[in-house]
Amino acid sequence: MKNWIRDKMKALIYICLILLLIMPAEQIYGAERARMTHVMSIYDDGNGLGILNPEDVECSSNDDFIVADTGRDRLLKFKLTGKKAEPAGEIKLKELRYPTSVKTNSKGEIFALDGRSRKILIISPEGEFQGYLTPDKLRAPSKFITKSIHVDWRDNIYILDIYGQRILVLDKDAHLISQIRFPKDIGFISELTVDFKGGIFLVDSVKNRVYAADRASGAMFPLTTALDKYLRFPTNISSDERGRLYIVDRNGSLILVMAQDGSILGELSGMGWKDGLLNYPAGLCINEKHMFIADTLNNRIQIFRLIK
Amino acid sequence: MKLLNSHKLLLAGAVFLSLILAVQFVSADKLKLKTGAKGQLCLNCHEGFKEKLSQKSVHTPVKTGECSGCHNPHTSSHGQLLNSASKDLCFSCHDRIIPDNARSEHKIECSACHDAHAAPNRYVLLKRGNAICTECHKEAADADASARFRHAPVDEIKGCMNCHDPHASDANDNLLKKAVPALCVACHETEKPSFLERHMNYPVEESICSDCHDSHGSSRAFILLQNMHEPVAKKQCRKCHPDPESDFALSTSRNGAALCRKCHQESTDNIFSKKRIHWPVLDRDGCLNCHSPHASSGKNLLKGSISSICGTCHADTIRLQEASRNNPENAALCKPVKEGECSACHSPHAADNLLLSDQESFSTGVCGRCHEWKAHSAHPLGKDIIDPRNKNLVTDCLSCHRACGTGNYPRMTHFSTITETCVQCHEELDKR
Repeated sequence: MKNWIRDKMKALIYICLILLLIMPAEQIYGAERARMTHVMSIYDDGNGLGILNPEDVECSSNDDFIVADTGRDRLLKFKLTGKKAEPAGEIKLKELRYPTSVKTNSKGEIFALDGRSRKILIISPEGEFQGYLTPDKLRAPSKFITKSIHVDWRDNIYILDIYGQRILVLDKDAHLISQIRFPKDIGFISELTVDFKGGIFLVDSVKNRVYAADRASGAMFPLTTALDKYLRFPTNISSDERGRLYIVDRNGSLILVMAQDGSILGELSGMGWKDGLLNYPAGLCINEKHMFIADTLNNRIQIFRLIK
Repeated sequence: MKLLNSHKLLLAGAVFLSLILAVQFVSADKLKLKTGAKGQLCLNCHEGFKEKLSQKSVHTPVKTGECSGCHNPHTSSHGQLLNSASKDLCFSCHDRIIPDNARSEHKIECSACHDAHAAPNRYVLLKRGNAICTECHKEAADADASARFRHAPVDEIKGCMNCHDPHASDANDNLLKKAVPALCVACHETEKPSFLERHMNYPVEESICSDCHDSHGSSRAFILLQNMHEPVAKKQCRKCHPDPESDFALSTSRNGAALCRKCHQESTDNIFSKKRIHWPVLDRDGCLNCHSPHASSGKNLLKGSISSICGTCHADTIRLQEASRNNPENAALCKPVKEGECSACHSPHAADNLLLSDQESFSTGVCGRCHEWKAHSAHPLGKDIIDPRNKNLVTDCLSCHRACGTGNYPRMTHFSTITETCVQCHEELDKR
């Protein structure tokens, strides 16, 4: 009898030990798996005029968002409340003839890249044109051509300069803080993002690679090898409040989620026309609750909730 | 202890048996042929080989009668009773022919050039000199034959082998023995006054000669490429470069599109007036990403064919295009996809519309140039027919097709079967 109890106790202890080992592993890996659910799609400006080929979307932590309605040469403001997106105004300026990228700072000022003039417009929160963003004390080459912009939580502005093959880092008053050279042996750098810790990441559309800035030296290095297995032509990269990276694959019509060590956490969405699916997506913005995607060839903005 | 000893015994036995088996396997006499039977035994039946073996060059194993070095006399999983796949078989003796990590490799079967038994030419080659190369490289042969101005090494006995290694190159593209210009300056003395004079005294000794010259021959003097940029043809180097005496003689007065705009003002301004500019036009190399500044064998001074140029960045799209082209179900494939003419649908420099299209509607505007889409089928199409899947889209060509090709799917549709395509909108059919 004593032996029988001892054997059962032993078995029980083993089971508990195995469970103890499994549970944290499930917590770590289970939590890191990327999943999302479709919340809604925005098809028009609230006045019946449809969105046309939107290329970017910017969101704030309180779920206000601005759409670069590229095909209609305008910006559209919305406020997401519950399950409804309320239109909050249209910005149409003669200086903004083809908005391809839009970002905001903590004061609500809007930075919009115009595809035609390739200039960055500064627009007040009320939608007034304030002037062009001109970097101060730019080092050689003095010319720059902006492919994309990013504004971090300190209101520092990052310009992806494809002419000078560098990232220009400006403070909120457009004074140059630093310039970071693109890594060597690149294909074509399409987009940059800056995470909550100030880490800079680049995506290379041609070589299907992600690059990260070394924290100590600031130099860019390849975070991944060619992601040919996952991506066809990535053109956008964003990060969430936990530092996870979301890469928009334009030709593949999907979102690849990656940890900062380069490990793949999942693929989201896929090619299609119905709500929840993407066709030639471009811009992406994530806040604590939602992911907003400019679904370019589907002429809409899609809003997803990330499942944590 | 007893158990340990029996284990040791078993292990020793296993090792011994393995050794015996291995020795048997590698033994030359594994087939236990009769004395003197070797190659002679094979020739008893394969009589035709006797004549073949009288040729000038005989493959060593054949000479020594080692037929079983390559063939299994009884059975094989490979053709011609070979011991293994033909290339592997050759590499089992000629293992250094292709260096590890070779930069370029001639990806053909060895038997395309060599006869495994015997041939009238050295190295058991099927043909002599350039004839062996031109058997496949017919375009090069035709160009060489029609060239008014010939490159002397091509016509020498060694011919192509003067510059190319027929098997592989460990460090260079195109199987070149050395990189350009090292390969060229091995013969052409760059210090000679005549060389300097012809190059307008510019220090070109470290430049890429093949940017201007066709090393295989040309109808232009000095084997220059067929299409020359006008300032080059007129020896007006100073239009783009500083004086040859300058420390930076090969630099340009401006970078990117700004340099080209000095002459091509109208076309450059037209490009820069568009809403969307193809990004490579805007970087520091600008036009030179796709065009050669000096000369080219193609039209518009392009660096290659349109699809090869586009494919340097858009490799994924070109892969799909090629797969569509090679799909036997796509016999009546869209002409630009078939011919790799990306610029038939896209404006390569700039456009006012997405996908670098000069038409607002890619579908009816671009496809409609060749396809009478209204007569395409009984399916309703056009701006008044809303796509049931998405209220911001109309039903058009791109609702079912992808204009650049969809790989293995027939008729450039997004899905593998017609049914799968139809049920995207007609869901009721899917439920039946």
